[in-house]
Amino acid sequence: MILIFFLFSGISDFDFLRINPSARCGVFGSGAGVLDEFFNSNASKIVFKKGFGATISQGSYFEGITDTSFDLYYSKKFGIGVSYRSFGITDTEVDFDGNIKGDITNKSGYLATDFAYRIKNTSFSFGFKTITSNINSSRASFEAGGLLFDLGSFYMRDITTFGFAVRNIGSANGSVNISGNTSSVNITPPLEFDISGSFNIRDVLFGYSAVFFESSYRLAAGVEIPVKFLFLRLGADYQKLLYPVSGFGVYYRNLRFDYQFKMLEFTSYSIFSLSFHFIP
Amino acid sequence: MIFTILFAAKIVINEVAPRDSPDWIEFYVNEDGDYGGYRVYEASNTLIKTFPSPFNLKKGDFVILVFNSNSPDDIQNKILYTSDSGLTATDNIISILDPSGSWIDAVGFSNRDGDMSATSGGYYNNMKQNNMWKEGPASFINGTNDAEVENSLVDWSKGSSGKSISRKLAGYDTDSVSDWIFGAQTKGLAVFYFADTPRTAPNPFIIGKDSYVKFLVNDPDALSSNFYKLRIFTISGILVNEISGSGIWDGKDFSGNYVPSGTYIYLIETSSRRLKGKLTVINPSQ
Repeated sequence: MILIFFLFSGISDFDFLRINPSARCGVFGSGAGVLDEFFNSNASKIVFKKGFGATISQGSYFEGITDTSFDLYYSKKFGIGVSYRSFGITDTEVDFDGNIKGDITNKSGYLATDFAYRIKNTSFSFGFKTITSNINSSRASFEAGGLLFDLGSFYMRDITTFGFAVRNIGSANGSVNISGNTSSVNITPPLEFDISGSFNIRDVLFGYSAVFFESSYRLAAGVEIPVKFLFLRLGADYQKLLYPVSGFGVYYRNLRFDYQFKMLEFTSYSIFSLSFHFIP
Repeated sequence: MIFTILFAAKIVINEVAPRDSPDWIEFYVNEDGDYGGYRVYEASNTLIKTFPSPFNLKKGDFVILVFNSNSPDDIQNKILYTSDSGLTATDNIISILDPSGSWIDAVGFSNRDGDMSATSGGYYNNMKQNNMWKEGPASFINGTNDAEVENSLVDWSKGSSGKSISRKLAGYDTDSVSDWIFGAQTKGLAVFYFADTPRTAPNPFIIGKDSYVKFLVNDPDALSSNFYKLRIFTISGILVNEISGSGIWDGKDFSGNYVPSGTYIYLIETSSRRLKGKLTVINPSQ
């Protein structure tokens, strides 16, 4: 199956999909769906947790880049959720001589709907998302859209969990306008295959993940240590270089606040998440 | 807002290749204007070339002066020719003067053998008198301060075919040896371009329409080392390409394929600094 992914090259302006919007999940690696409570990241996990839930996340990456997402779900044995994400970039338009001509706006995002169903210790999920991307400047513009699908499965027993997901299956297309001349473009969605798992020893959670995409991969591992109402997290992502990740979570009744801080080669980024879970 | 070039003459000598066949000099234009009648000299006050008139140039243009050729000047492509056989490739001073005879820019290089060429030494004195060079003694006295003068000029001791001396930042001029590096030729291209605010130009970079994107940086001190590398990442942190020896990018990834449309992050690393920023690519096919 992995061979399928190696056929793809190019990542398009949908690269933001490779950044997990959840502050908790990111500490264990972008593919750590087994640890995620962001429904769109791994719907198949949430069906082990009954009730209503909502998460809002705000990411702050490189200068001029913002990431906002909202996730709402209901789960029992069957789960359904809706997720919205907006990823915005502001850049400076410059002519060949270095003169500033204005702003470039790059807005991407999606609206996703996911479903999941649990049979004993195993669950299965399916989701689809409509995704759009627009780049606008006075010299040229780019716009793209598509329908992408996610598939996932999750297994939980005692202290061990294991899951996998195939993300961003599908196609997209778009157009480029350069000085009034429009041409159609082929978009390659950032298809990826995620494997992740966790185990719990004396309330300390150990998580790991592997993400395969194109002809590359990303590995990650992390640990979550409870200290009263606080959860301290520490992890690392490996993708040719080792990137440390840290964070914490604070639980209060039905509310949870999560924070993640990650170092990349060219920048650091932080994500805040506020989650609410309610059992009727 | 227009970015400003600091410390720069309106046209500067940008790169010199004294051991090629033929030799050549590259000039970089910092201001739009008519450069007809500008004159280029080398050691012993030898006139090499008078620019054709009119000769309208724009900021960012490169002009290449090629030696040992009777070809007519190619004004459209900004390639000029001179029948002069070639540059003195040991110790030399090269200058450009405007039509009134005012010095605009100059550079000196030496083979650092401890024996400064007497004719070049004389022209070194002219360069100093016209405040075109900060380093070195006020005047050259043959047989007395040869080594001191040679060591104040750009090091050409390892000069050979395929090598040149060039400015670290195109157009950046402090009349100092520190503006210059010795290395592989980059004729018609800059290592890095200087601007008061770091950015890339053009942005967005349109594949198929723009041949390359150049990187404008604001910290020449950060580029005082020959060691640097330029890396391009996707937003999610995937390394797309790594470039060394050049401050331009043609929009291709490691495999030689043009990258898809999107926003990318660049990281310029020197021995002392990391400069970073965003750039946008529009690819008409993906």
